[in-house]
Amino acid sequence: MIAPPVVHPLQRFLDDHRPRLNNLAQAWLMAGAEAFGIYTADGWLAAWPAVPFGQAQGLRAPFQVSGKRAELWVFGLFDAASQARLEVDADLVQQLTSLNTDLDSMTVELIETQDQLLALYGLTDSMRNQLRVDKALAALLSESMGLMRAASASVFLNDTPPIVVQHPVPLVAETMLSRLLEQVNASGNHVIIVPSDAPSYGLPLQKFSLVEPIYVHNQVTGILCISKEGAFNSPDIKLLRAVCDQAGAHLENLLLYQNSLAQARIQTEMELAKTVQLNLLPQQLPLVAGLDVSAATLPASQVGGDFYDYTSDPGLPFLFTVGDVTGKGIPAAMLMAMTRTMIRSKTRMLEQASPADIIGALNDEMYDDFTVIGMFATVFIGQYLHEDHVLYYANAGHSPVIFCPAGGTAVLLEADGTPIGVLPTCLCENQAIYFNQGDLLVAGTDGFSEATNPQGELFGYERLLQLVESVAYQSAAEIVQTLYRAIAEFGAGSAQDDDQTVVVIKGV
Amino acid sequence: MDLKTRMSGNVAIAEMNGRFDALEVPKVSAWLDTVTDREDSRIVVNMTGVTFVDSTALSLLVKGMKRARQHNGDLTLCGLQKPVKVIFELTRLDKAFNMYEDEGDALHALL
Repeated sequence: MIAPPVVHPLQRFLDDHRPRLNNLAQAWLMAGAEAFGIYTADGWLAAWPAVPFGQAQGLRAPFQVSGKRAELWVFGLFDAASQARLEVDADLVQQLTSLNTDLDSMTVELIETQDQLLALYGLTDSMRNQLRVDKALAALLSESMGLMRAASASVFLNDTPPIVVQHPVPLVAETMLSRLLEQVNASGNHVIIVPSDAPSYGLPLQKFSLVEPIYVHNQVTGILCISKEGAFNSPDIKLLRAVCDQAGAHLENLLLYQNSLAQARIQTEMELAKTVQLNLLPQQLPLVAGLDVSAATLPASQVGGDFYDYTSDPGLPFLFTVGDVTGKGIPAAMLMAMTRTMIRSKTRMLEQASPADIIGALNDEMYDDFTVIGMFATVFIGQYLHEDHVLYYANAGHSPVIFCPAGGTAVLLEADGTPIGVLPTCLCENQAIYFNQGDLLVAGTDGFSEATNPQGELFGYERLLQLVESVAYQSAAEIVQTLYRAIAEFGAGSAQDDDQTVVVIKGV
Repeated sequence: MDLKTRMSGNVAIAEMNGRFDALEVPKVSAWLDTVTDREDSRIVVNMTGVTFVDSTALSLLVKGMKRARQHNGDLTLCGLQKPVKVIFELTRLDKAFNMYEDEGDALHALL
């Protein structure tokens, strides 16, 4: 900001209007005056042709300039008409100097306004370049201090945790700034702390402090506290209000940007987790003598805990698993990966392991992990012995698992054991069914039975049983496709809340 | 879903109605954290008004039951409507929880 130089208003008038005053003086000299001059309390300001010091007699007419007295003098004329003319001239000079003063003050105001606009532009520009809240607050502090010619300043944002930026040094305690924010919030306006009250707020001694609220989403979210010598006048307060309004608007945008950024980051991580999870599932269908096998999974928008797997090591019976770790998100995905790995490991480690053996060992191994995370997993494990045409299975809380004998009625194979991670010991029994040509087993997850339509109605077990029965003549791959199509048609565009996973085994 | 909680002697009771799903889990979880974090924590979850329970809600109940038992207490369920009871039966969680017809029976069993 440019400070205007201190110049006597009459001197400014003389500088600006010397040619006209010359004309005025010449007119008096031509009318017979010996000299013409302008006199102030400090002495002669100007005279034409020169001050006739020898003569003390003359006409004079007083006028006021910015509260200071001055006089026009004419020497060598003494008549009443000249006196009247001189008084008219003095009045004109006074009017002109008054207009000059008004013009000066308007110019100063204009310069100040322009300075403030430039400062606000500078503030906007410097805050806009900051994408971090603390950096943006530091820019706010720096610009505000320059604008107010302040000695020190603090800005406090009531975030989690609170953000405090102070200059030149951390002068004010965070608790005190928090108290000032509450005070400003309660009053709904700025607060001015006079020097005598400064110590009780821990503010700089012998300084006036102005505390302005910063509104974010119409809430007092922060304060700007500026301390300086001398009192704050009305333009100062208005200017700081404008600064804080500008800062609040920018912070709103910044917080919105940061939220979007954080969400985009989470979304990317979720997508990655989903990709990792899908890659953990078998990438090829197994070739098993006597069986037609197909499987698929359709993940929900959020990463979940569904899984399926096969092991068909040479010399060992074909073994398949379908499971569902409860809940969603990264913890469910991690536990799903651990469960799948543990089933594989137990299958290979335990010699001639039956499905119930594997489930029992799995529960023993993972009960503590599930307890810590606060989740559980339902698991169905089937084991097919081609020579005997028998399917052994064990079911730890998993549904729906549907068996439809060739030409027969579809039934649920209900679980007999609690899910993995619920009780310290999981007592599953091995169950056995003959599995011949045309027999069908559909092991799905609750994403099928709990799919909803726009009216909020569940697909349910009855519909699922009927559907499986009606498509039992199809190949395993066709049945998988039909199931997904039927669920999609039922949902009629409703959001898919849960993963939908299915393994279809058909005797051939 | 509405959640009303109260104490009957030293038994903490939660009464719910409507859908008990992932959306409702946080507030029930906050309550369970307070009542399962003490010795001899006895809890009854009255599900008379509950029409549906999803797997996230089941997880929460299992977690609460395990914590209560760790503190030599128990979390019991009562008043399950048929569709909700079926969910517990299909997952065999009916073997894990102590379940009662009504709140009176549940309180009596915990005393």
